[in-house]
Amino acid sequence: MWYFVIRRVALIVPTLLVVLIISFFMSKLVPGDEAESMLTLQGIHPDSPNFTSLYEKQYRSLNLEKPLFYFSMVPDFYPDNLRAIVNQSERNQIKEFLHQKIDFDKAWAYLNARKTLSASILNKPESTPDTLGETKKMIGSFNFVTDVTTIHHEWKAISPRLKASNIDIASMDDIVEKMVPQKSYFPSLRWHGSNNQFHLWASNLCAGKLGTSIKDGLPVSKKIASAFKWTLFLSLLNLLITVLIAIPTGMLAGYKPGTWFDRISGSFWLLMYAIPSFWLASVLIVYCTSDKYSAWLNIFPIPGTWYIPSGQGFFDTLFQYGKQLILPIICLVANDIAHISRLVRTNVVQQKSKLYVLMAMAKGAKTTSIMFHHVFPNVLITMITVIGGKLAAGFSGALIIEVIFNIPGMGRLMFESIFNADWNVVFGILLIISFITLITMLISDILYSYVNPKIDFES
Amino acid sequence: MKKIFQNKSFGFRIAVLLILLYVLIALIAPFIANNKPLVCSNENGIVFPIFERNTDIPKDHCIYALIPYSPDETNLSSGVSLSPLDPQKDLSPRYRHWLGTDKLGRDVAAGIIHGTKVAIQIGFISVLFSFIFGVSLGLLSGYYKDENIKFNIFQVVLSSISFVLWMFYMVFEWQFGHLNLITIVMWFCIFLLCQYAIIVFASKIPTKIKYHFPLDTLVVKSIELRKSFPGIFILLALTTLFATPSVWNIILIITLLGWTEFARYARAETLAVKQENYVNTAKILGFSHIRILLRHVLPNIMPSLIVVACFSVSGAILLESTLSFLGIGLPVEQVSWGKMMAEGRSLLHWWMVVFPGIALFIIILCLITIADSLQDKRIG
Repeated sequence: MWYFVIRRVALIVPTLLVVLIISFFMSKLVPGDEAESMLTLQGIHPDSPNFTSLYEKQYRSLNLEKPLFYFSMVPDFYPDNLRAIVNQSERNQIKEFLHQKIDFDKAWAYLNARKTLSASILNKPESTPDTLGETKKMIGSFNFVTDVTTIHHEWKAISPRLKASNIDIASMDDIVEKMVPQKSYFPSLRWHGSNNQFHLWASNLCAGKLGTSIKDGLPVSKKIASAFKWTLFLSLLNLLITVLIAIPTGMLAGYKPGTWFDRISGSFWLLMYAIPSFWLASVLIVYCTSDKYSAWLNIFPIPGTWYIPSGQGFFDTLFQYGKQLILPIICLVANDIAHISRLVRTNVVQQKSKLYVLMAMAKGAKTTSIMFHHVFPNVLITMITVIGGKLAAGFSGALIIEVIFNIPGMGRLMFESIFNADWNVVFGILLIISFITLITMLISDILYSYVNPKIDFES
Repeated sequence: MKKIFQNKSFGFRIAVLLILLYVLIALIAPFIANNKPLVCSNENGIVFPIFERNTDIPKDHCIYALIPYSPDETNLSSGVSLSPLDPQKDLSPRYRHWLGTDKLGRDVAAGIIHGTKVAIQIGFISVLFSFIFGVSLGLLSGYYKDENIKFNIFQVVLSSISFVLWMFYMVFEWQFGHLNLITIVMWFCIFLLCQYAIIVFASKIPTKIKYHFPLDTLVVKSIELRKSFPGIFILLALTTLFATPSVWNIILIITLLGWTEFARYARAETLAVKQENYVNTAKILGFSHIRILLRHVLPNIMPSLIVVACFSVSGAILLESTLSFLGIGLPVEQVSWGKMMAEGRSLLHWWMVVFPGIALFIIILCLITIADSLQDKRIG
């Protein structure tokens, strides 16, 4: 037994590692610049005067200048670590050059040469205003060109003008000449060691640090913890109600298949199973929370008023919360009850055809006692994995209900964070939810093998 | 196929007919709801304005579509937020909005018809892809297990090098912007040919070092990995990776998430079928593995795979409408059931919640009914 548990726990480790890696890379693949959006949150926009220096500071503090992973595989003309270029515009320009297959050293030399050239020209006093003014304008626009053919083209137009005003352009000419796309390239493996973003992220994670939210600067773990209470509460309540209703009805329907109760409950649960929960929620909200269509049906409060004034009695508070929770719970349980009830019925019917039931009947046991003492425990064993899966699936089922009814749970937090492009929160939630799912599956597996006497731990 | 329809209940036949009706509506949606006339006759003879882009069409002697509105045709002057129960006095019965209009005056019935197209497209295409991918992996992993595919060291080294190189060049060519669909398919075919050549020719090299290819372990591990990411959360996270929303992104994501279910069932069923005598006989008769897999194993596991496919289609359609209900994933101009329901919920317009919901409910009910009666046949 213990050997089995330890083995099962050990098997979870590689899965966890892959989950970590997938979440990390997904969070790095989303479009947008993390440091820039952090600054925008603080009210510093790209056209602010000291944006560049603040950006570089922010970029370094977020460890963005480090390589992504322990190793990388890039074309041979790529630099070791493109992220080490801290300046945002320089990095983006180099990236554009690389995407046109320009060698990194040449592109870097070009950038530097252009910088010194434009600095020397733009600082020149206006001795011959006619020509140099025009040249300055051209150089200004030339600084933003990243397409290689356009660079060659424009340089041909600019260089005679520079020559005319006695500026040395021999080196720049040479550099621009060399800016030609590579014809072919080969892969090269670069090793970065443990000083990389993934390593830092994972070790922060072990210390419980998930980063900070871009929206309000709160730590992500704090936000998730306060949201998690609601989701856990909802899914446990959902599970409790589901089990309490689904197992008795399923047992009763499977007790004598073909009776009127079986038929009616069968078609009723089939209908309930097919109802999309968000549709049910929308219909209930439209009809039951406003006076617009039927005043007599308006018995529930408008969803989303979760502020309950303090200083009331316990029962008042409970009543107000309960009133809010009835509709979401109905929408949550409808599908699950239908699913589990139908499963229980099928299981009971299957178990009843087993030989041990025949044996019990031959022994002269009463049908009720057969149902409760022989069939029920066997059905329960198969139900353990299903219910464990339901608990894990309950988190995702709760997402849409939380969004519709404005319940401040994980699903709603995730939904809002996606719209705010708050990626730390989004992928933090994804990670936490996957951890919980893995652990739930682990527990239900262990429980299943613990209660099921048929499993042989020796093999 | 004929066998499936024999001895089936009334409900099953109705469900199949309704699914076919949905598919038909999805295919001919522009001919059912369109503000351009289908056929017109003028002095030049008969013209079909529905196929033409220009809008200056003759207004008389025309046959209009069943619903004479397009889903994107707005009417801000008089037709905003009309309920189907409103008198709608200035509209003749032919032009009445039978299912009401939304806040911009767009016809709900036309929206439902065109929303069917998106739902069917996403539901069936994504399940088709995940069916092909998942079933082939499940079949192979169940049939060969871990022990039965052996490679010698040269095959392992060469094919992994070619795999890494292929991945590398695909990723970077894509970044450099030299890839389109045709070149991707071409490179994939070249890669497969290379792999085949390596496996065939490297097997000739005499060596004693052999490895088992752990196909079964890989498939089981990826199924487990998929299970550890809860459905809608990973779906939402994946949709954020795409800069521009489109229907094909959602199809790709649902395929990526859905194939494991097919692989799981195909693997389990193959493991059971493999023990049967007819498979052993076929082996003794010297049939090739591919023939055994396609002619003997696959037809026998097909019924339970169809059940899974029905559930998957209903799940995919539900996911699509959930996503569009949340306002994520689909392009803004794309009409869909979920979007209409979301608008109806926020504005408390019952007709925009109830009617698209009924369309969604009926198709899911039909799919579940089909799956159910196929399943009952197998148990009973």
